[in-house]
Amino acid sequence: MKKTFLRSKVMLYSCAIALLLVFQGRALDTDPLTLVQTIEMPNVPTFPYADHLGVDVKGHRLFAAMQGAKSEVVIDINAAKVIHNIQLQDPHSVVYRSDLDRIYVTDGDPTEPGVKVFDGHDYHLIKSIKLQQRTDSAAYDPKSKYFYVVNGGEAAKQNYSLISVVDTTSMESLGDIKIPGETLEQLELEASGPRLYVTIEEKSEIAVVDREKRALLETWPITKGKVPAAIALDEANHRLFVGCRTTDMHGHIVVFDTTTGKEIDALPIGGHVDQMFFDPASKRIYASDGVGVDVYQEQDPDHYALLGKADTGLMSKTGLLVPELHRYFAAVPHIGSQAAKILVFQTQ
Amino acid sequence: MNSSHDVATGMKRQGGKWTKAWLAVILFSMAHAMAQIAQPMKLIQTIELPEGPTFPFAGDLAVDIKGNRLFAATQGTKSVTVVDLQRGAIIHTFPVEYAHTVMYMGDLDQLYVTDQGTAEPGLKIFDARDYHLIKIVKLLARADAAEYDPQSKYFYVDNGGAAAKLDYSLLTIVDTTKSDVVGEIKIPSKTLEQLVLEHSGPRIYVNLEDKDEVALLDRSRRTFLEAWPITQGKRNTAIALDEKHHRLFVACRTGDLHGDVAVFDTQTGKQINALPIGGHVDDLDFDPASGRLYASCGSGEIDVYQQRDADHYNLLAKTETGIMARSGLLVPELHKYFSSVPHIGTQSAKILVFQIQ
Repeated sequence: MKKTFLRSKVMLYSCAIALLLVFQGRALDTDPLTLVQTIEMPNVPTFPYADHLGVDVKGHRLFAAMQGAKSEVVIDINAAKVIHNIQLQDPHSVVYRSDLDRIYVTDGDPTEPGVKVFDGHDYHLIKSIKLQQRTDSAAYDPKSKYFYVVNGGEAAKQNYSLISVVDTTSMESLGDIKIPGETLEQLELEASGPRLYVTIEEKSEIAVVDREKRALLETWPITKGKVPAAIALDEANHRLFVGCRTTDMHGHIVVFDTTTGKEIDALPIGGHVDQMFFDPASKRIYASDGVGVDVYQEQDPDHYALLGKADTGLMSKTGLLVPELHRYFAAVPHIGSQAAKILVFQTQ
Repeated sequence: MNSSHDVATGMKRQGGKWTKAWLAVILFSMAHAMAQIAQPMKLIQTIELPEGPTFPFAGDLAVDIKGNRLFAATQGTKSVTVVDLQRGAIIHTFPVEYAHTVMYMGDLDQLYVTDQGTAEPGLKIFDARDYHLIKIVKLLARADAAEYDPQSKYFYVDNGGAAAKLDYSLLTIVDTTKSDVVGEIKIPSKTLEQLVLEHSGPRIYVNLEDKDEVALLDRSRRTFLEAWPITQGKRNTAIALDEKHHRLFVACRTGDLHGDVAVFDTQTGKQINALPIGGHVDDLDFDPASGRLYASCGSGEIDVYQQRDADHYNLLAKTETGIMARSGLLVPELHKYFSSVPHIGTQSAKILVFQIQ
């Protein structure tokens, strides 16, 4: 009797330990981001923001808009160190063209707002393309090689903003798309069609634009979140993800059906989101939210599960997913005792 | 027989069900009531501050209890803001380039403000009736944290160190009656942070941030006695004292998003515990009446710990504030905790008022 009891007790404990190990193993397997490297940027003064990142995959360079240092910082990813500082008053977005070895940076400099084009070899300024005040977010179309750049609005004392179409080959502004909003935030381009989606922050709306016709098609109201600041797209499944700063400490990814313009879900994230990515291969959404990176798994177009949240730093609201390198880079600003840095995560 | 037996059993079963249901209701109500009691802070008011440029910091807070006024070092607007607490309205702002510590001297109706600005750094004394500047007490660069001794009426203020290109710092002693410097204590550190005064004796404890140490000073002899190393935790900034139980609480910014409160035994100078808190902590208050410790963290939370005894502490709750809302003030007389939120991007500058339970 005693033996049987003892045996069953041993069995019970063994099962419990086995289950624990299985769950632990599963937890380790599913951790979506693993910090593999920290690249310090020692000469960046205290400033609450660090803006968007760009990459030169072949040349293993990362470009970081470190607004505290008034510079676009060039980092050698392999050596994990800063190799150059391109001086700019107020850098925001960046794209690198490997065929021309040129770097295009949007600069909110109030005295000379616009897109600044730099030589990727020696970093000299090739051209400054003048735009309106608050030249900020931008999206690059690799087919047309056009750079769509947000500018104007309240900062230009207008009740509308512009999306300027900059041809990165001729380095000329080809025209503008007028959007009825005082503060545009991020934009996203459809690859299979002419649509462009841009968030209108003060109205909590999405503007849908035909970029071929350069015309506003319609606007969609956001009701499941507020203050839309970031955007990502799952074209295959017709889903648009809009990152909202709903309150100071809490935000949402509002999921839209792009065929109907209707909201279908709101996924909780942190409060200061500024950048989002959707990776079609893994069907994962990444949101840099001001203190971490939230990773959601798209189970099907109507169902999403939070896989995990990687800690970053205070006001670390921008990042860059580079699927070719299996990396997610997070920009951390210098605030008090928190040093400016790039956190390099391995994506799983 | 059978049927009556069945009925009786059925009744019994049904009675059992009812008992279980009632038990569930009672347990749920108790849990709900306990959750209500256990919640140590409740947001009761939000006072929006004047719009200014984005700035990652908000400085210290002070209260004039009799006059129902709150003073906030609003660094983003290079000012000190005066709030009428009864109306929740801003009644005045006056310029201070880079205000850090703000302290209200009730007996003099004066405000003491440390200013790290470049134009006129030092300690600025303002008349709290009409807010005119009475005097500037010149100090070395980085006049920062300060404490007041109500017995001697001396004001102790950090200054000097790395910002003054020195390998030592000073704790300057200002006699608030004369509005003048009466002495200083030299401390071997490049970055002093917050300090706390013992009331039953002459000790001052001050954080040496660059060394991860706490310095012990004798204020009656104006001397540095010794330094205690922090063994669990890094970058100590805030500090609080439980004199009765001989415990010193030292709040550390160990990582960017995570910190620790190092608990010291003041009789031995040894660290005995480390309590996890959020990152960017900048204020720590201990309330002897309730045995609660409040850590205001820039990661957007106030962590409240309950002291069970001198060696044991329970985390009661993490109360949300805002990003870089790291300055807080516990006012036990008003049963309130004030938290200062800076303007960063879409987050507006504001004062959050919590009722403490």
